[in-house]
Amino acid sequence: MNNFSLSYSVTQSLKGLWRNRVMSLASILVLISCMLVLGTFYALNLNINYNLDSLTLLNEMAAFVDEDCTAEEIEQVREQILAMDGLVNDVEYISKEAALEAEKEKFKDYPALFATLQEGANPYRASFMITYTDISVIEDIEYKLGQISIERTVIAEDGTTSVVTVYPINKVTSHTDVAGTLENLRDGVRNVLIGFMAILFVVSMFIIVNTIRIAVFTRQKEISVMRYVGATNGYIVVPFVFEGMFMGLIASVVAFFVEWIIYDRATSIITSQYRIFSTVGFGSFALILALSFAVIGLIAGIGGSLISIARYLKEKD
Amino acid sequence: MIEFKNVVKKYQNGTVALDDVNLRIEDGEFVFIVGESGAGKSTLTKLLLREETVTSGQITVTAKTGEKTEFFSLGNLTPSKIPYYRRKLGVVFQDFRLFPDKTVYENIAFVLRVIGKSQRTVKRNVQTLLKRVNLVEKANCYPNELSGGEQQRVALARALANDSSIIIADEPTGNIDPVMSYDIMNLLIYIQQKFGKTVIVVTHEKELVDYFKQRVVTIKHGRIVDDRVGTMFEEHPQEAE
Ligand SMILES: Nc1ncnc2c1ncn2[C@@H]1O[C@H](COP(=O)(O)OP(=O)(O)O)[C@@H](O)[C@H]1O
Ligand SMILES: [Mg+2]
Repeated sequence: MNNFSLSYSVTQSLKGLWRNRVMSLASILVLISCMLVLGTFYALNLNINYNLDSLTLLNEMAAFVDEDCTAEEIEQVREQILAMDGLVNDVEYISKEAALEAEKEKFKDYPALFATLQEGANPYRASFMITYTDISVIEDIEYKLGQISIERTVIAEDGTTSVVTVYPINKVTSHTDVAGTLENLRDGVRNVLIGFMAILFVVSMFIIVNTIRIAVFTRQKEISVMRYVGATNGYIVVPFVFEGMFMGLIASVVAFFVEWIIYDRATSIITSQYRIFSTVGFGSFALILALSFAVIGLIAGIGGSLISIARYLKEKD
Repeated sequence: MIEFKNVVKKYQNGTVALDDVNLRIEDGEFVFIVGESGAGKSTLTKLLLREETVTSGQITVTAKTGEKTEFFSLGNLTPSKIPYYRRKLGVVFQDFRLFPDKTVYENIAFVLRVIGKSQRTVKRNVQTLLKRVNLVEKANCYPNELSGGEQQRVALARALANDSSIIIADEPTGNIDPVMSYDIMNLLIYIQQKFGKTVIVVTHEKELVDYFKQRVVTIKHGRIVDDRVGTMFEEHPQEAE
């Protein structure tokens, strides 16, 4: 194996690719689809996680408060919420008016949205924005919020006073349902795509093995002469290994650019149609994608050719 | 030196192609191996090429190239050593086995590249070899543009390319017209005499063998039945035509 020439191996392998171009093309196309499935899976997973992260990054939930609460009572409730040790990081009270102003600010480009509101009308409700420590404590907090109570002195029509217990928090919203849906989607996508990818990988290996076997077969006469004049196994085998390697590399390069184009198209469509989703830029995972494609291509290509040649060499010696 | 000691070759299907063969060929000798079809001649060359292995017995080859002498016991040759052993041999086949899509020049250069010679050495050696087989002006022809005799001369040049010390020709004139056959044989004898190579020629062409008056080893049913110098051995001379 000491001094075979590299250029010989490269030329031979390229000739081989061309000689069996239909099979070579088939191998490359199946490999490309295998890679695209992986790439799509990876990109989807990445984006779902990214959206999950941005949802949980907020770690916010809204607890709506009884309309009749006085400023004092609000302060009492606020302290009780803050007292939930280890569950709550911060609490901010947002009054009806503040909520309306915030929404008006958010949609200031669409004044028509608020045009139908009567003067002085305010459909928003006062709430506490609670920043919790972790998504896992949401249910805990929800339960405790329901338990919060204040004592209110009520003066009846006849002038007598009585003390009643009021539970001022009456509705809680959090992002858990969205997060849960995304998580389910991610797991479903993962299982389907991993299975699909495994099948495609096996199919592409199978086609490569057969492509190389045909390549070996068509050069059988040449190989037998090479053996007679003292060619080493390395010298005979390397062109075929290169042939497989080139198929893998061509597939990974094509798959990379196709993935790039598809991803850019898909994300621009998704972000323009569904504003709540944010997407990851292709550049942020391009390198790892390119490397994974190259690894898959090389394993399938080199592995496939070695399998077919090993068989052939065994038959002969 | 080539030595066969009690060599038996039994193929998988039970055919005994060689049965207790003892044969010794000295360095620089010229030997005809003759015998009817199916006698076991090709089996003998295949064993020598290490394309097949013996069922029992031993084959040893001592190859001298320049100052270097190398010893090979074919039974103990590991697969990785086989290519290096084969470089000591040059083979010529009945069907030439040239590459149809390569020129004469490329067919010969190919061998030199296989054994790792530099581009410059390849160029120089191919020219020398073409001169030796008298085909310089056909260097850029393709095999199908050559006569049978010319094709066999290309094959012979190729067999000489790897500095082999032993040339093995299995029915080299089988596909060539009689006049050309003498040319090829003359060339083989010239190679033996001029360069001191050991030359083994398998054939069944009686006239050719008789004409050159060399050592003749006769094989019948896998056994060596005669070994002499001169004309071919005949069991029933009166029946021969
Ligand atoms: N690969 C093989 N498998 C089985 N039998 C074989 C094989 N090669 C040759 N033989 C048999 O061995 C005998 C000798 O064959 P061979 O050496 O080719 O004879 P020759 O070259 O003298 O015509 C024949 O009977 C032939 O059929
Ligand atoms: Mg024969």
